[in-house]
Amino acid sequence: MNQQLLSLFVIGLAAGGFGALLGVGGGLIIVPALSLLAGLSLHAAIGTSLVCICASSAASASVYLRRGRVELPTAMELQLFSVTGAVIAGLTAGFIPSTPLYFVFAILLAAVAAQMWPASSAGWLERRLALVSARDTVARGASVGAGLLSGLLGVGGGILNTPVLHLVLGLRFERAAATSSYMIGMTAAAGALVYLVRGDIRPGLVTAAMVGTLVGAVPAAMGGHRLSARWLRMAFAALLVFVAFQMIRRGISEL
Amino acid sequence: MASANSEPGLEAVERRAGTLLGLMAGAAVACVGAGLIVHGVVSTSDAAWPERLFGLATTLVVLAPLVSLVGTALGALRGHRRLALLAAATLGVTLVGMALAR
Repeated sequence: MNQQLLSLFVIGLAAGGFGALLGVGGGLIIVPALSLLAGLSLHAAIGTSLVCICASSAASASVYLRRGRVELPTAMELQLFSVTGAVIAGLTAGFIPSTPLYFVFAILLAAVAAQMWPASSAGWLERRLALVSARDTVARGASVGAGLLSGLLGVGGGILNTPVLHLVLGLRFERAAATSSYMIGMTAAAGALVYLVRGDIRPGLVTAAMVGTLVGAVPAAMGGHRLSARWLRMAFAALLVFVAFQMIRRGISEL
Repeated sequence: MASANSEPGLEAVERRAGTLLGLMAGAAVACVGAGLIVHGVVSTSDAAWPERLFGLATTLVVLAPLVSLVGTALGALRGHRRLALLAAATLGVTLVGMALAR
């Protein structure tokens, strides 16, 4: 038990560190690590990840809100759509077997890795989003998508929220990141409550990962600016490709 | 879509929402700390207490955004009716989801 708690703490530490360094939710690391390394079922890993996202979002969004960096009216409107998506996905996920979820998660990891890879020009998603005309409709649709991703796969959805707020709705990047940080907490909470009520979350295990996430985020946020962003993104993209491969292997072995 | 610049007087609502989030997160961290202390002191005699405290910490963390949302809805009720309605609707969807998961 103690060894499992320690491994969960280390997983949370890595997720919190990478999340703070690269501005992504820790779910991309927590879910595969909990299911592949710590031996949790995929549904338990997703529920645990959602609680960790709630914790890191509460810590950062409380500061952003008090400093007036969150675009509250925009967040409130989009949050309604993302929460609806998260609740639908959370309720549906209980009926979906783990095997297809491994493959869906692997696809998401590969897509994020491609988006993360440092290139001279903007990524595919950025270029498309900058050309959007029906901005409000696209933002609402993307919020539903972020909620579905969050409830189904245990990720925060920030990877979708931040570009939409910045490129489609025209918020400054720092403001978009702060608003997304607030939104993912509420979205993750809606999904986590569904998993919690269904009994998919074990509090003792969640706590170890949650504390690790918070501890990992602090030094990364304080010292992250000293590291090369280009090398960090490349290392993270390589890690995501490796994890995607492992998720596919696990999915195939469970067929 | 509404912007913060078009709705003056939102600062108090934002501060209240942020304070509530911070308080809930702080209470969760305190529960984890208490759970770890109890785990170290009475690990052999009563192992249920740390588990209860960790469970409370998890619940507090998950409920933090909801409590903040209630604060936002109440704070926005007077001058920002649309914001209050959106917060209430989000809260409603979350509670319906919880009820359906039972």
